[in-house]
Amino acid sequence: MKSDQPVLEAHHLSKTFSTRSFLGRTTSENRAVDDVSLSLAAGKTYALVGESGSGKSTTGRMLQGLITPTSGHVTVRAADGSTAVQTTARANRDVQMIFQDPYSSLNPRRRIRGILEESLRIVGEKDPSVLRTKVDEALNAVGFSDEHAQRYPHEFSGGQRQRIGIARALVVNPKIIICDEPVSALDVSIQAQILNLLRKLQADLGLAYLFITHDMSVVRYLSHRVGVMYHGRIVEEANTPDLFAAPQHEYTKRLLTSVPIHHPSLRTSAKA
Amino acid sequence: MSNNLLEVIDLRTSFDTERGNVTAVDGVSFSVAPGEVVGVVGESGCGKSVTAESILQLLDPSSTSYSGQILFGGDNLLRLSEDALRKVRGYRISMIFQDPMSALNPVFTIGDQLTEAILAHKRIGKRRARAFAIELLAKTGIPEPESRMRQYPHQLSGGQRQRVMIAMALSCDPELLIADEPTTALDVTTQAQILKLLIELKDEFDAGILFITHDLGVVAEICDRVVVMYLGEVVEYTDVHTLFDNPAHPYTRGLMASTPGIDADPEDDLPIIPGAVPTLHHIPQGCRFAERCALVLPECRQQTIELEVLSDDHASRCIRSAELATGASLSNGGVR
Amino acid sequence: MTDTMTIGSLNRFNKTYSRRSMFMKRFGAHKLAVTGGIVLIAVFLIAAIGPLFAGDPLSLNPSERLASPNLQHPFGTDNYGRDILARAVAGARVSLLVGAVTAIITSVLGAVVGLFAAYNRIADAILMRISDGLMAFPAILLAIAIMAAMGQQTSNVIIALSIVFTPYVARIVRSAALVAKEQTYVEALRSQGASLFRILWINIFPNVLSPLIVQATFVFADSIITEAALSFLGAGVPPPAPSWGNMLLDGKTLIYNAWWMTVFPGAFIMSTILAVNLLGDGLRDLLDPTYNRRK
Repeated sequence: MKSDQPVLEAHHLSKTFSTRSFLGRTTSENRAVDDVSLSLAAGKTYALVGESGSGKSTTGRMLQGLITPTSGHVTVRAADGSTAVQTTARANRDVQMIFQDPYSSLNPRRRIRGILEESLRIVGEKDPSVLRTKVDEALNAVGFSDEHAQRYPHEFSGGQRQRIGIARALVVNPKIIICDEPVSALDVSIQAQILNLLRKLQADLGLAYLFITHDMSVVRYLSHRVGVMYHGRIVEEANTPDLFAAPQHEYTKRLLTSVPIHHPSLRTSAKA
Repeated sequence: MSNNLLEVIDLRTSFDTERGNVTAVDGVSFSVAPGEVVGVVGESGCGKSVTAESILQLLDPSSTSYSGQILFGGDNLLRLSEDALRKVRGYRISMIFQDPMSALNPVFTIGDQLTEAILAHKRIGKRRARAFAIELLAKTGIPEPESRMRQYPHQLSGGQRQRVMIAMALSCDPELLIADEPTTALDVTTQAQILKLLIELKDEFDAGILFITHDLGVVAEICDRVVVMYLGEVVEYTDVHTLFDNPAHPYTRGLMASTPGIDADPEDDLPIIPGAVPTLHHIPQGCRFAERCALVLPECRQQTIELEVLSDDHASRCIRSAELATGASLSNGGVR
Repeated sequence: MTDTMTIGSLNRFNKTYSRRSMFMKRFGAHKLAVTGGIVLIAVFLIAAIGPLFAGDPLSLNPSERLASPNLQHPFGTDNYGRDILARAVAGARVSLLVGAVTAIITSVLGAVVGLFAAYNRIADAILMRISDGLMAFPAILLAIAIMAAMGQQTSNVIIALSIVFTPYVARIVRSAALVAKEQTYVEALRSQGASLFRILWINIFPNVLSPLIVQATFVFADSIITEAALSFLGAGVPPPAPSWGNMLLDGKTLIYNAWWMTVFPGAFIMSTILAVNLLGDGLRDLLDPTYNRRK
């Protein structure tokens, strides 16, 4: 794999949400994402950080093909080297997504096997034996066995559900996974399990991640490149070590100093 | 210690559930002194929020039973009548929650709610109460407090709503403030501001704070002493420096190790605590953490493990805590 | 503040922890639902095999007009000397047929209308305004109007009742689907490119099934009552075919002379409706996923 080749690119993406009045007149406009360009290299992780309302999730959803950008476009490079240019919301099997909330992201009325098979059926796979083996492979990759496949989501803990969500994305062999705050709803001790799993999958399968998060320590741990979003724009972009060593933008500096310390002796208002 | 503001002794809180009775808080003891911030840390299901809510007995009385003692100002809160308890709640002990939106009434303005709260506690006129409300809002760092008074909760940002909640909690000049994950729903930059505000206000009002959180980083920022809980029990209890320098319980150690610091080496895998927290319906025999512990020995599963006192202000519920407190790196010789 | 705080957390815990009272309630609902189910099965059995034993509901016997209940005619006879028991048993067939077929038709139509309304704003606007219009009429008046337009026939009773009750089912399905639609798993499906058909029928539909089943039982009960009311008003099942409703109509003028002509069909209606409602209430509790699941 040519490692520096971008597999997913955003070109001047903007999204304006407008509120319409009863008569269909636009009453207010909210520019959620403003001229965002970024490029995600094959097998690498790009972290998009920012606070709630900064537009990072909207950007992720445009890259995923869930939202049509107001302007700009997305390019996805497929396995065979061809490039798909997307200007409207359209799903692409090479780009999958994992979600923040492990509870509502799995259909409560379907068994795990059914949920995973659904992903394959959506992309047109019908052969029962193929469905079976692919689902088993994906479940194995996230540490589950055949026996788990027969259960319903409510029988699993939050961390386990998040692994099922990852398996659902993996089952169609994507190149790119958009991770929307995948660990922020989990307990600390479970977060580490999921982060390690994501890193292992990246190493094994050469996945590229667009990692949406507000947690700087997760960024540090997982990402190769970081884009800091603030009020809909990327205000700073750098390789991860550089960003942490020498933040340039005022907001990035504020973000880094706000991260809780990991030892009480580091308190600034040292009152012992 | 007689100068403690709050002393919780052997608190047990259990619920009737459809699948039988569960004990969510099982023999918890700790104390809070005036001007002190005590952190209660743990993951979901460890009983930290139930502990906080037991203090004011905010849980559904028809299905909850308490035992033990909660000593506050010479009274055992568990023995007080509902009327007497109401004189404590929101007068002498205030509480702030993770989600300020659900604690504020959406159909009244900030000013109405805050003034109402003040009038409920203080014998002053409406005008003065309003002036006091504005003063409190200003104190919590809300810009333009006068115009905020006329706004409704949904018009404020999450951080500002939490500031309003803090202003409300402070309106009665409480002796103890219970903060249940007050910054979990906020952005890091806002979280840092709110933590700073709590510290400043605590010093100004000389109140004690009981701070419930799952975040060791927040503990390191703000707490003086820490109670670590796991599955309804206190597993470690000490001052914050000792906790971070010499954690004496494998769970505390695991929590610290599995939190990726911003200066951790990103090349290594994160150390993990395997498995997940068991449910209260399936509490393991012996040490409750044994199943997930890297240092487990066969004895761990055979006996009930008691809190072991290591020094004046350090206790840990582990048979190996003496070894651990020396900071040695231990293994269990491959036992599982 | 104290009070808002207290109430806030009490509510939170009532939801999660107050299980004992719920358990008692659930057990109670269970027993009643089981009773309802047994009674309903009994009525179904009577309707299915009763007519084989109970004799001819249409045979006239002028010599035994208005006989009070006796050994030969346990429920007595009517003003034409027809056996009330035979007519009530035959009427059960008509009533249950009308109820069951209406329930099935409204469930299917209601599910289709409700799901599409939940997913498409334009369809929603059109379908829900039509249903508003239908729901604005009192059910019985609307049914009479439709019967008047179409003519008095058992099949037309079913069509009329289906038109009357579909909006209620569609509303329930729509609101359940609106809730399901906001769940992240639907977004996950969209992100993978699932077709509207897949999302609605394969993934959302199972989540609206339990409210749909519960609503179907109530439609079943309501259509039996409405059919009886229609027949009582002379706009339902045409005589001489017996239905509980037109038996009541027959007995109305003779209520002071022959109480058995109204009491027995009335008792059938009441016990059937009660049984269906008990069963429906029980199902509602049992099928509610928040009932037995702890997050």
